[in-house]
Amino acid sequence: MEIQTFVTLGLGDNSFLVGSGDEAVLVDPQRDAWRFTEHAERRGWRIRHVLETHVHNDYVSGALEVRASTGAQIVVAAGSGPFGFDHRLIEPGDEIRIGDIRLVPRAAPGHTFQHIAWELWIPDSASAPAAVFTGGSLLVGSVGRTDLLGEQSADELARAQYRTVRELALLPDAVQILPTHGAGSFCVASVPSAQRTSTIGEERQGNAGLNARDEDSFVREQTGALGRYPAYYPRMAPINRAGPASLGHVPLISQLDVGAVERAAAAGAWIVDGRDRTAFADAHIPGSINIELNESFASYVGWTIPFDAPIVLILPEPISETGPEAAVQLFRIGRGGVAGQLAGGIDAWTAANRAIRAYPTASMKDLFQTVRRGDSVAVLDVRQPAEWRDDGVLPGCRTIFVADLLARMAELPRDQELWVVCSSGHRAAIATSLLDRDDIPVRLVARGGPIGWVERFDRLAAIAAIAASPAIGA
Amino acid sequence: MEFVEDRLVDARGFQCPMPIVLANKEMQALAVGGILRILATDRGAAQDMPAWAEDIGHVILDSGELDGALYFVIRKGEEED
Repeated sequence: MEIQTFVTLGLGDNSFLVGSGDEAVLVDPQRDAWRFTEHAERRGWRIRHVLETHVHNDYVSGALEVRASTGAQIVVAAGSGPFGFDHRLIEPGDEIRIGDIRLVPRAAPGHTFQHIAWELWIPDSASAPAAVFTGGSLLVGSVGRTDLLGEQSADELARAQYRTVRELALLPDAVQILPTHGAGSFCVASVPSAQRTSTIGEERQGNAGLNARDEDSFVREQTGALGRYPAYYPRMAPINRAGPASLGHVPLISQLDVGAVERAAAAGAWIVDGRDRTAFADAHIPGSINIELNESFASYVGWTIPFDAPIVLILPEPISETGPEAAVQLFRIGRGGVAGQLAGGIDAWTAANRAIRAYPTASMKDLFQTVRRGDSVAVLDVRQPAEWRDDGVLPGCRTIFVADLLARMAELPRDQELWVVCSSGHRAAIATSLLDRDDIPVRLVARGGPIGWVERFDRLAAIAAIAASPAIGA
Repeated sequence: MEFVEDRLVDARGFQCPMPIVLANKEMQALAVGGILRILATDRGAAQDMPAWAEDIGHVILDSGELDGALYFVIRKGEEED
């Protein structure tokens, strides 16, 4: 018996391929499932079943892609439908057999109502499973969040999660824990470990979710300090229940010329520019949004741009890598509507003498020196509320999380340059471009952010208060 | 040159801003001169981690890539004012 773990960076999720003899099962596959099926083929395993721990809220399942290429049966928890595709419903008491192993479902509500965990039983383990695929229940150093189905069910689901993880913790120390959500995922209730898998024994030692004093404490701890999650999440479960189209490959992104990009924009397409934030600041297409092409590109596209709006991409070189990277990320979250990318990138636009916009950039050092000089400056902090609380904010600054900005533009001053900060410059770049699109005068703090600087600014503000002149404020 | 860290932050799998958030948190527990090693898979960290650290006054003793992850060895500096 062999377990192969696949990590999807950017979504922070694991998928697992379990082979025994010449058969295999696949647990919680991502939509670009060919990396799993190709691995199974190389190992000589025929994938018989796709096991879903829950109807996913953060990505589009690859179950249908896997079935299309292998004929595998899709196995889902009874009550978690209805589903628009052939499937097998499973309940506690049922089991799946491949090779000489058994996969046994157990109810594990909390992350969702019908969430199940899959126990892996091997011939040698008579009294306990060798491992459990815990999905979004017990995670490494954390537990799955319980607010994804709405505020009104968060408390009930948190109480269910409490019981679920405590029952799992009754398993022997050596039992392996193989969760789906982990570091990098927004589906976690608290910061998890960087480790992708663990054991019951390790979790009992180090997981605060297993060491809560009682149910009420657990509920308070696990629901009281949740981060925000991407706005596209509510679109995922309906797609997963209906069954996404299986395409057999990641769709290619069309090449568009300058005229086609202009026409698309005039018809309402958003222009998303994946280049580095300083390159964008120096020269960008008016109205375009700067979402840097790193692992979280699609998460922020799905968070800040209306899900159904057509988009045109401006990608950095080398296109042979950035094109497929952007395409697979958007494919994983079912974000279609990609009209194309500008062939030749920003250079094609400037070569055609089209209008270019720019805005200035700065560092946190620049901001500090400006405030220390006594110049008044307006600052907008676009980090998450949990970060403002945990790491502090600069005295006098405005605070609007980047994903809330489009709805709150009217609050911002237009008579003074607004310096935009986050922790590193990445989310500040998204925010600055959104503001620039709306003609708000801006300066992007492209290096660093308040984190680690707040005490120094606090000291300046204290001095300024004594001198009765404002440091930051607008 | 090999540096032995006082603390190790494993931020692999985490995305921006978590590597910096985790590094900042551990840095607070170190005295000036203390050494922090951070591992990260976030590609943006290649630029963002040194930029954040150096602007604050820390020193990057070493950085690179090993086994598919970026690493940074950072010495806590005096706070400049």
